Amino acid sequence: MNERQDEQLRSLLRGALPPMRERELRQDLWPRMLRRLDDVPSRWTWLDYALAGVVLAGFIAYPEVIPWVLFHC
Amino acid sequence: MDLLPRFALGDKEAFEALFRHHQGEIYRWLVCLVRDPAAAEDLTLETFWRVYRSHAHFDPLRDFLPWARRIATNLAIGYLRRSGRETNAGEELLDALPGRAGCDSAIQQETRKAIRIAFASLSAKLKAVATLAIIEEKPYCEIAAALGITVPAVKSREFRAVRILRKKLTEMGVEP
Repeated sequence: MNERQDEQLRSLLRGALPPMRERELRQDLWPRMLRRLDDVPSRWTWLDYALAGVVLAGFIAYPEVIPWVLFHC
Repeated sequence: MDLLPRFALGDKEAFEALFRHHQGEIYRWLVCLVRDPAAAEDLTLETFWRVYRSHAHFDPLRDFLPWARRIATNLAIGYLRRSGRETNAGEELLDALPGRAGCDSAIQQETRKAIRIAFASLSAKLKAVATLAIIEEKPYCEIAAALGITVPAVKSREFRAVRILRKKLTEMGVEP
């Protein structure tokens, strides 16, 4: 009895919410994927910010090293 | 070199080949789960975005599709949990189906509406299993692999979903 009722409920569920399995992709999504891959901004971590801060502080404290750094870069 | 080892090393061309080959399959899986074509497209892109970012964790000796499908399923469950509006999308799609409007009796329409409301009340995990197992009639082993659980666990969730649906429908005065 219970199994029959369960099967009836399953059938009602399929009637109320028809399967979507036949739906096909309407378009190639690769161009959108490519845009997303190309649009990735370079993300700075806290370590990057910390290192940048140390270098900046060094330049402020010892400005005479700036020409030396630029010469060697 | 084969495609999968190249992808695991971060080769973009290998990723493109995998994307083009599997995008349809992932989309079909997602549209079954979320029942909204536009959301399924967005989730397909999000799935492959995560796939691309996780290339270093991919084992090239394993199959690509089950791995990608598992990522997609987790995203879809997150979507179902967040939105809670998938049945509304389903209703919109139902209204768009030919031959549905106007041919049902008022009782049938009310029953369908009650079933959709009861279905919407299921948790995201139960909804995912009920959708895949009952509505889409996917094989249990495929569902289990996508959810990262065992086949008996899938059957158990399906059983619970049916019980909850029956209880909700009875509360609403609908005898299934």
